[in-house]
Amino acid sequence: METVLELTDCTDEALAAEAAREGSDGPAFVALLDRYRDRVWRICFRLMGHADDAQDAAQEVFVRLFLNRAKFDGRSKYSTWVHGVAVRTCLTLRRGRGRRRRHEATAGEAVLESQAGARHAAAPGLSLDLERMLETLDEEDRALVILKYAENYSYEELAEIFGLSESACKMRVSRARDKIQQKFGDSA
Amino acid sequence: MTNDLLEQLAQSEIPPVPADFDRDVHERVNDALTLGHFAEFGLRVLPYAFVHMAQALIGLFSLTLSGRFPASKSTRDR
Repeated sequence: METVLELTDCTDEALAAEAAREGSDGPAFVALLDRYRDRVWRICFRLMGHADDAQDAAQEVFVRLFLNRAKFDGRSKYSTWVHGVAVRTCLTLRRGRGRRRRHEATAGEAVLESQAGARHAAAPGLSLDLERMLETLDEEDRALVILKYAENYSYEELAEIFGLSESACKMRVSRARDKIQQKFGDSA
Repeated sequence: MTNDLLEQLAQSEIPPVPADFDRDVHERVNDALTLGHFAEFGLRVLPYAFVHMAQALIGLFSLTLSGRFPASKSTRDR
């Protein structure tokens, strides 16, 4: 009981240090999982665009957080580190999926279209146009735009997560917007 | 115009976290740990054991052929 009370009072950074000392997913790591479950899920769902992919990505994020728990050096906030791991994991998984899709595309365009249709239909609340527009962007730009507009991250937070300068983030979001405007013209 | 469209992103709904999420994470962490232990066993423990076994076998052959067991650093010092 005492341990539970102590863990709930701990800062994220203190819990991370405690988790690094644990041999398996012990109380400190479980407490971190509890604190970050919803935020990681939101990021993964936004970036993956599909519940099944998001679940796989979010689980992968926590596995990576566990395996690299000793590598958190406290130079940034733990939350920033978690968000960075979540974004990088989603980008890696999406790039892998993109490669698989390109490979499948050589086997049959029609199959790809039907799969894409099913995926779009399964993404709740996001219009087909908007998703199609975002898909035209580079993976990292797409992630920047989604986190900026869907999750209201500040440019300062984005800069820390993506390891860029604030001005670089602003420029890339602005360019992504311009690219959408150019490609889709009046409909955007 | 593009800004308006992008601002719609914030309105799209997010489904709740799946009910068995924690259990699945726990299982994946356990799988990763098991894999790590096997990798460590294969890459570090087994080679270490083979090297020590080889030293003993070489010593046995030397003893058979020459009647002397090759002295290791620690026994040479005594």
